[in-house]
Amino acid sequence: MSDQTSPEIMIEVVDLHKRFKDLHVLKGISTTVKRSEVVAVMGPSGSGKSTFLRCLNRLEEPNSGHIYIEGVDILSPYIDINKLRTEMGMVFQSFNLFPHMTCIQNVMLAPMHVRKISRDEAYERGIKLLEKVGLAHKADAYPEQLSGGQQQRVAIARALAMQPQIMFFDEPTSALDPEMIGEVLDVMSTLAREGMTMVVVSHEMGFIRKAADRVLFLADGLLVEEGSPEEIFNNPQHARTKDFLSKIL
Amino acid sequence: MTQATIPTRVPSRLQDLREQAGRIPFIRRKEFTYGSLAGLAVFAVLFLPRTVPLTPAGMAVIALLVVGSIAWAAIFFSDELKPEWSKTLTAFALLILFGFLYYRYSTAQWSRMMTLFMNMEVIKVALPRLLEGLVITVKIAISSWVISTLLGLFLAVFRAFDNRVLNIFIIAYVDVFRAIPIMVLMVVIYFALPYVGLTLDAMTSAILALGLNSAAYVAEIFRGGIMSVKKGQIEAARALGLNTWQTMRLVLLPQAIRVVMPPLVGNYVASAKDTALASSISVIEMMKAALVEQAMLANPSPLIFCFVLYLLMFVPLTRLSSILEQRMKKSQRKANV
Repeated sequence: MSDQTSPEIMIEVVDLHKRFKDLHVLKGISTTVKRSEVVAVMGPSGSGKSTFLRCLNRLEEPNSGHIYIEGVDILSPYIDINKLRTEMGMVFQSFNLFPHMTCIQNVMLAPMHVRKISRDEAYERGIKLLEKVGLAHKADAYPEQLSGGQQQRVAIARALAMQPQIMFFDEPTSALDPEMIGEVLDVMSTLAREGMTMVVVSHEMGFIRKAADRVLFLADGLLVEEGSPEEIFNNPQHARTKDFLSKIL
Repeated sequence: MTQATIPTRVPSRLQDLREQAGRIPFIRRKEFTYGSLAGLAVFAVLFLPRTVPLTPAGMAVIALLVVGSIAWAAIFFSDELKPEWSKTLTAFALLILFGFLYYRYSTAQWSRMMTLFMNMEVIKVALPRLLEGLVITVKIAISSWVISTLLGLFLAVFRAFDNRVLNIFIIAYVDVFRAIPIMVLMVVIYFALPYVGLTLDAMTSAILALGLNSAAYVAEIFRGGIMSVKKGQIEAARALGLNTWQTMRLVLLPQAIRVVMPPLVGNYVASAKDTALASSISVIEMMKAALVEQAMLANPSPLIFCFVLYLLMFVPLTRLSSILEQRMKKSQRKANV
């Protein structure tokens, strides 16, 4: 099924289904994400957008369908999921920084214990990443001493520390106060410009318009509509999309 | 010149409250508070028995006085308007009153108090054996702590992996060992296991019984601690590529430890206190040593000494548990803001 010959295709999702007991959350989603593409996933609450994203690194196990990352079937039982996840960074709505570690320790943890690089190297890499998100001066602070926006930027640095090829963002700004959303979106825009492959669940229209190459619109577990941000925002085809956009604009 | 229209006054719904505010209930009035106190004092002076072997009537008078003063204190304490210092004073006054009543009317031989309870000669003679007992008590306590911590942690970690078959065994272990009285477990290990070819000396049996029992509680404490860590922490760790063990070791347990420390220390104290049960299988630990000396020297001083030693060992630990708990609550409050 997968187009293994094309190096351009980073993620290929084929007929993805996910059920939580009686609840059919994803009812057959198929799409592809190319290398360096930024894909925004939108949809009303309960449409399955977060579940879709969480299936991509198997934080949720899909019930059927296929997911290929660079042509590798990640739902195969022979896959080392931990190794695979190191190629896919994830940023959560609620940050999920480790509260018992300082920022730099948060960033160094996975490179040291999963990639097995030395402490010095991990530290160097961590400081560079904290610099990149503008928080090198907070390296030794604990997460609880940081604002929400700062915590989320550390969380992005932590995900980047594994040098992933893909970044997933699950509503990264939904838990933030309005004045902190900008600083997080700036970091994400920088990443997008640098050519990171990104899948972003978000409703930040400004960011999507500026940074996203494509928008997937999910409703009731189905991929209702997809297209460039301009197409989706200015000329939505499907009734559900029109209805949703009229509500959030 | 027209008169300005005054809006007709609507009767306030709070009218009755306002009227009540002027009235102080009878039992809150100064007259009642101090009148009844004076009444109690007069009653005590007039009717308290003068002679020491108490008659039933004398006992009734004392009982009445005690009940009356407690009731008076209860009324006094429940008045929020009374200042804090006056309540403190009342509490001390009650203590002094009860102390006096006991001192005056009990059959205790107060003049011989020191020779009976704090007899230094007796304690000097008993001291070597008491200290030997202390060492054994400490040995049993610490060994059982090690066993219960390791075993409990092991059970809790495997419980967290949520394997259905393993869970049944772990739940069964926890239920069984929390249900069996420690002394029964000790006796069974020491007296019954030899029949199946497992002969353990008394001390090992005691350690094992305490450790196995305490492990069940420790497992539950650790399980609670692990479950208290938010689900997002596990997801974040797994999303970074950490495997189950690394997630447990680097993310879950360090956070669980903070939650777990106060009840864990409390549990250590509980199991250390139960070391006295080892006397039932012939271990001469501290309490047994004190009992032996008390019997040989016909003087309760070794028991009092042993009592004080227990306090010296465990009061700091229980205090530590409370301090850890307060510190944890404070840091949790900070994290939730």
